Amino acid sequence: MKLKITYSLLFGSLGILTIYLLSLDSDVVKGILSTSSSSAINASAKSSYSVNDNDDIEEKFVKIINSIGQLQKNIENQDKKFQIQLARLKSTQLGEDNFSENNEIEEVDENFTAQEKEEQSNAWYKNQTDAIESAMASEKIDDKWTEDTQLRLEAALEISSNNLEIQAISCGESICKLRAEMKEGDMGSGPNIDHLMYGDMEWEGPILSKYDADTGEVTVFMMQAGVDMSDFEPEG
Amino acid sequence: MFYSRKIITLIIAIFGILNASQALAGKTIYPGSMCVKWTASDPTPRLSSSRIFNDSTSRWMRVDCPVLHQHFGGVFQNDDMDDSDIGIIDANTSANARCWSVSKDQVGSSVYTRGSGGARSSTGFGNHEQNLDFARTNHNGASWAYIGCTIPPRQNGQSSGITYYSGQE
Repeated sequence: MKLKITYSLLFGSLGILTIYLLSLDSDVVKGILSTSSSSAINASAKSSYSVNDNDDIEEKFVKIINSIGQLQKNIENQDKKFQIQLARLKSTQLGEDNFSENNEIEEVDENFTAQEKEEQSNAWYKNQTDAIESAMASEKIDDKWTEDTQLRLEAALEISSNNLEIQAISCGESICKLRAEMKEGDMGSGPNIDHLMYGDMEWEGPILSKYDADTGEVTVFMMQAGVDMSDFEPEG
Repeated sequence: MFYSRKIITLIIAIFGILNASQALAGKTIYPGSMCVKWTASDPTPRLSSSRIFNDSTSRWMRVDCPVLHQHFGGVFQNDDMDDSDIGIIDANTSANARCWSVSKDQVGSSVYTRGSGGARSSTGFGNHEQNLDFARTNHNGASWAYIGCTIPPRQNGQSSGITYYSGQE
């Protein structure tokens, strides 16, 4: 009998100590306090810890994951709204406020429409070329480099399959601008500016180009090696 | 102990999820065999361990090597390719291989070269691999990218070629 009482006191103390330790971190103790005997306390604590607490952690984990997902979606939506607003401001500044009432920010869809994409692309390109033209304007015209570049381009055109006609070319100290016209051909057979500039003409530096298949107009900004194009990159 | 382990696992899982996009934006290496010749009349590359070689003794092998571009931001948000490079074997004693990195996109009827990492040429000759490293290439969410190359003809029984190429965002 004495031995039983000793064991009961011992297990009872251990049980209370276990509950105290668990209560520091979780609500598991709630399920345990409803039991009375020391053996039941031990059994209940073990059971509650392995089932209820697992469920609790899983539930919290799922909530955290859902919150992260929602946060990501919110950031993406805000980013899209910001991009639309930025493009709109730029278009307004340029006197090209082509946004219709249907393009309200609240109605921005997951996918951009072709019109929105074109408007933003035009704004992006204009901003970048404006920055390059502005840099060119601050440079002195280098007649020698202009002549050399034109000769290289003409030589490249002779060996390439590009049916381009040079309209104008001028070079500053670090940037050249070429305007040309595609004489014939459709989009598929249109000029491959990269192949022409890098493959045939062996240009070293970065380039920025635009070819309009409807008008045949070609514009290429050719920069000296070492010029960082990101200097002209619109903020995004 | 069991409880602490679960908490640590949870923290690791959360950090893992938060860093998933960064992991996706790492360097990707492609075998040379992914390059595509410009036209049907260009020499067909010979494959060797997924490297490609120009076996023509008179014509240059001209290829475009596509670089996959993972897009994380808005359509016209800058999403530059930080680094790209290509492995070249230049066995021609009198001509050098030449490669360049560009990003392109088409909007309506207009085709743009959005960004460019410039052009690089091999130096000297031999059967060793040379690495041509390109500068950062401007990108946005609508653009695609490739590395273009012209590889000189076979000479003295030795072919020039491409071993691999890579892109890092």
